[in-house]
Amino acid sequence: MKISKIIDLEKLKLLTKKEFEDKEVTGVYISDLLSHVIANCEENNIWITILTNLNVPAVAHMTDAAFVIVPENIEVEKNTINKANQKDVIICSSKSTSYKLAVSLFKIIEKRD
Amino acid sequence: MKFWYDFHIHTCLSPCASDEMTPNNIVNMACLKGLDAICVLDHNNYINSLSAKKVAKDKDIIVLLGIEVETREEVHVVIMFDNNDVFSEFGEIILDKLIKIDNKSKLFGNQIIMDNKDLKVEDYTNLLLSPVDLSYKQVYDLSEEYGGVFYPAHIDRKSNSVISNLGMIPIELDNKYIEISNKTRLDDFKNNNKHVKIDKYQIFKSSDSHYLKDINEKINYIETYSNRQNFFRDIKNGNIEIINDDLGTY
Repeated sequence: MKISKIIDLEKLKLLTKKEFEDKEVTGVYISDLLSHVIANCEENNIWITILTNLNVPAVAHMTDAAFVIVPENIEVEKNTINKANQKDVIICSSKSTSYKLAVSLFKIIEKRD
Repeated sequence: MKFWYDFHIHTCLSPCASDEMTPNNIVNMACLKGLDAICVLDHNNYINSLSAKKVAKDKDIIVLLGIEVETREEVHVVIMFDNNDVFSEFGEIILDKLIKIDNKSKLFGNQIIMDNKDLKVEDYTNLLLSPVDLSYKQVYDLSEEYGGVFYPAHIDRKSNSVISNLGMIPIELDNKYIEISNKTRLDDFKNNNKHVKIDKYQIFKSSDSHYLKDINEKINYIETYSNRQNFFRDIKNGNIEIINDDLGTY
């Protein structure tokens, strides 16, 4: 499923620039330890994290994640958004918890081919 | 004796720090700012700290050796030393335990190893923002074994702090010090972290500077009651008073 469709279905708030490459999402990875994300997040995975610092766009870029979701309406710093825009990294906000997001995304991503 | 201090200054070896943070620039800027004691450190790597100490050899300023280790739980802790050989041995263990990921300098920044003349030796290629394969307690135990002064860094921060990542300061460990960021007032920290008991610790408030301009002015000082030669020993034994201005404006 395409990034834009997921943003729409999950009612996510796009925090970074509106123009982006609308990739096909391959799965989801949830972790707040950067070393785990670097080791395990696969290309075009959605990365769900409560981290909001400058390392988030760097690691998202490094792992070729599809985009980042920050749950629970946690505020993302302005410089993180700016760096994400510079690196063409997409960051969205959700009011759901990581758990609810995971369940919901599982249904729409995994149950389809 | 009174020592205006800043115990958390990064060099250009840390990828997040500016390339202007060379050993000579740091020591000279600290002297210009009137500081008496600094700790120069980097994430997980000890080499530039040694270079900075060499720069200060014939100057009045004390340069303590240090490393900001990232534990397996991605908590940042500072360990300070004053003996070069012990520090180097400790530093080599940390480097050996570093999880090996290649640095991408365009994403994370440059990691420049420098000598005491600010000549580039080489780029360090393993990403220094990775953790070491040691838990918080294991890093503490290792620092005790090597006679270092261990304290959790910027415990007020939302990420990479002992509180954000472990939820609390492990009370079974006997570190004497904690670090709170300059910009956070102690009262605000206590109000926002009512479950965290910090009364048994003395608090360092340093700049965590990644740019020369951010190095502390003369705002926080340490009072000791013996000679300058005993400075590190006094810190290690807890025989100091720390007076921080705590205005939270930095």
